[in-house]
Amino acid sequence: MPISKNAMRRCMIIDQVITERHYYKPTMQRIVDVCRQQGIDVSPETIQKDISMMKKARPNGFGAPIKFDFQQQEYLYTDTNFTINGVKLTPEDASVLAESLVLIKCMLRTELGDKLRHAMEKVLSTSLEEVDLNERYPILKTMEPPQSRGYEFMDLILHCCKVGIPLSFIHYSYKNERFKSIVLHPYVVREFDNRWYVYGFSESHDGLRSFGLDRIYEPIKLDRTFRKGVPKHILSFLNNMYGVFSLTNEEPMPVVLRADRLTTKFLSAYPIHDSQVVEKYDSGSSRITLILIPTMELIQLVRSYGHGLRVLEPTWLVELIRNKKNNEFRR
Amino acid sequence: MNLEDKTLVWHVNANRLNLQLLRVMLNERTTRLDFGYQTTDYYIRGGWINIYPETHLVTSASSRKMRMQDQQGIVTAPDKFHFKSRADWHFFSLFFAPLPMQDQLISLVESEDPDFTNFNIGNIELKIEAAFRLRL
Repeated sequence: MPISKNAMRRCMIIDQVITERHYYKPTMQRIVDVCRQQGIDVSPETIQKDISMMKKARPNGFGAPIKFDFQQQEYLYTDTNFTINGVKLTPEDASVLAESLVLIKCMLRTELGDKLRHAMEKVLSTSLEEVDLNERYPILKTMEPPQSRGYEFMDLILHCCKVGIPLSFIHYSYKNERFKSIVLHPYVVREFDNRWYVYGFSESHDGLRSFGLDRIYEPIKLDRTFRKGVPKHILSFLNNMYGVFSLTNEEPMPVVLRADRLTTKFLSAYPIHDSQVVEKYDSGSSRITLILIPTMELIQLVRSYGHGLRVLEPTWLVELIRNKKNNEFRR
Repeated sequence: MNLEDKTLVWHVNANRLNLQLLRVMLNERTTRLDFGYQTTDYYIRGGWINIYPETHLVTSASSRKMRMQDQQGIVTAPDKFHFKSRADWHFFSLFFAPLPMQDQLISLVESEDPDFTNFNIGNIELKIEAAFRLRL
């Protein structure tokens, strides 16, 4: 029989009183008093019935190892680690959570990440099996670049994206070697290649732009009407680009690459984009088609493979690569 | 318009050689100017920068000189911040006594008798209507 909502509340209080034994003596009177403090008028008989129910095995009870100590006239758990307020984790659950914590530590070095990590550690603390996070080495390891400049603004920028607050900041362009004051209506923060970017509508450019956090100085919130983003554009930025700096404002387009046999093997294992289609030739080389918005990062990637990879289409992109020097595609 | 307890923000782009004045912030306690500096090929390793302690603002709205109160990211003379290359850049801020909350032209005066290296920038227009408001 399922436990009623009221009975569940009383059980939680009983559990709370017993586990707080270091502060208050967990007597029947204490349980009744706490129930009354929480607006539950209850008799000792009802509490006695609740305790009996809690002792029953799941699913009818909680399997609570409650014992009444006549000497002390108080209730206690014979297993001092027991609680019904905690989440019961199997060793497998605890292991998965412990590994996830490693990922969180790597990827979310923000206030939000700290809160999430703290919450997960609390969940882990209820585990039946102790997980010593300090003694273990991670069996899953991601790349952990040193904290970059501008990362300290992450929490502020995330907050502005979430609430919808325009930002004023100073941006330094590595390429132009000039500073510029920017008013940005930020929409999303995106990581690419271990670098962080904020994307939004720039009043200063009258268009959608991304800015590397490492090039931002002194961001401040502005009391100004927020210009909402168009979900289609934001999703296109997130999903239709390899990288963040587009070479065109057009819709996603077919980009055809020619890969030699070695490069084909790598790109088959690690696709450039979800849209990637590989047509293999008899020799093992291939024609690779992507549907995306061409970016500077895509060109950098193509160039990183040397003669192993080249662009076949669109023609304007082929011409662009041919006519520009290597460092002109640097972010 | 009640401007007390407001912080006004102007984006400006006033230059003196490779020094850029980028932003001005004003409230009833202080005036803040944000600058960017880009080194050039003139010096072998980019040279150095500092700011004279007697740097001040003059404004068309008052005969008072607004003295520099503080600085952030730059040292005051005779100390120097040395660059390491001709491609270095630097962001810094200067804080002055608060300007009047009204339309005005301001000038940054590092030296009353400047040479070409001094950070003197004149006639920066601050219009209340054109200012952004800081959100707390």
